Amino acid sequence: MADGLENIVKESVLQMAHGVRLKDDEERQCKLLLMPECIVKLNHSASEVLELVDGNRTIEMIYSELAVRYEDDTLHRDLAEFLMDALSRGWIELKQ
Amino acid sequence: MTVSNPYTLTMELTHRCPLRCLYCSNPLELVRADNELLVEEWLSIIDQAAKLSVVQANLTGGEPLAYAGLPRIIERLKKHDIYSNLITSGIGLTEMVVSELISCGLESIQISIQSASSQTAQLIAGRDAQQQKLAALKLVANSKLPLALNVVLHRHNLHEVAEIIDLAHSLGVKRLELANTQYYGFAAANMEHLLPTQQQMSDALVVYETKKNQLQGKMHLSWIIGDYIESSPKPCMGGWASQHMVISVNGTAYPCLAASAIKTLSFPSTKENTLEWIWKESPAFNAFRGFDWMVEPCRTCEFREKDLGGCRCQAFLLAGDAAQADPVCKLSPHHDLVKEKIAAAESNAVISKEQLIYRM
Repeated sequence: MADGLENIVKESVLQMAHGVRLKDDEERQCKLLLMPECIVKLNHSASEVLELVDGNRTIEMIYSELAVRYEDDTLHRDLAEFLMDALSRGWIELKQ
Repeated sequence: MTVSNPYTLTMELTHRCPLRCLYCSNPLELVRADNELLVEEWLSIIDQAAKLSVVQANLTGGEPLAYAGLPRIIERLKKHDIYSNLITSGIGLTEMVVSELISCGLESIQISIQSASSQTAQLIAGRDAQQQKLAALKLVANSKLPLALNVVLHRHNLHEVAEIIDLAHSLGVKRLELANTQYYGFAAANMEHLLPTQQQMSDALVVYETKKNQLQGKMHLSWIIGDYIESSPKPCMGGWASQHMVISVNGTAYPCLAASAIKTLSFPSTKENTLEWIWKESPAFNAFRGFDWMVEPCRTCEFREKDLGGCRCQAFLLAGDAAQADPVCKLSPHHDLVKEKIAAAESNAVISKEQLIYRM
């Protein structure tokens, strides 16, 4: 069982939630998030983040990798918002 | 008009089921076992679906575990990298069956219970199966198979939402779907016994929101909104024949599980047509694509692109014409029919068991 979200820190490791996976859809030329009873068509930035959610990287590591690719003042806030959203939608979870 | 490919294939493997639920989504005329598709026919359907870029499959019934070819079907889905989800009552799930499903490549399983109490569960399912279901849930929660628990909500269990969530949490469930009854098939036949009062619904939602916040990060809860609650219609399945395809027990293809209720359309069969022709060319699948089929008030409505005129099946069932606006919509000329149902639910007394219509 994953921790409650109150325990989230920058050293927390994230993983895809149980039963959720990314699929590269060649025909539709996009990444899809597959899970029970639901499919999410991801935009480019969402798929870039989720590809880094691998059960090894911490939130801090994910941020650093994205910061190399994007020089953007709002990256920190955008990433935090996206990860919290993905956690609350049950796409990803904290690794214990 | 270019038709984009479907994402999801729902396969109704059999209508056989050990339970007799009052809200069963199967059609009132069940397909007999001797008319079920052969496993080879399902494998061909899966191969064709893969070519149509289907990425997800729901295996349902009846009880899909009662269909002997299930393991081969799961293996074939795996071969095409199609995400497989088994929707089961949990009856017949043993440790051996769970291991076999995992080794075939099943990706997730959804088990349903009817209530937190055995007594109510028996009233709804027409059979005492609660202990078997709880045992199946524990078994899967302790396996590697991703598990979702589904509970259909109505006037007999909406007051139990807190107990249901606590029960799910204690069983180790990490996904809980609370789905308000959709009134098609048997649920439509039993509507007066199932439709909750508006007060019941709003009380249950408050409990749900509180629990959802408390359990954030521990269990993922979702709430599927019911019929006859909103005064704006929900877009049917993201649009008629736009994302989903259902293949029924005997090979008949539908855009959704409830569509066999629409008697004015002739639905194509996979025995006579390819999946590609059915999806792209068949008159039934093209009947309500786009906006040209719409009549007033939908035709010129500012919300038509948002709600697509609502549910075609509800329009047929209530207004007698599948092209009408969904009567749930307050702009529909048939909206009084929905208001009558809601008013009746407010005044309904205790139900008498003799009036319930159980599926066989």
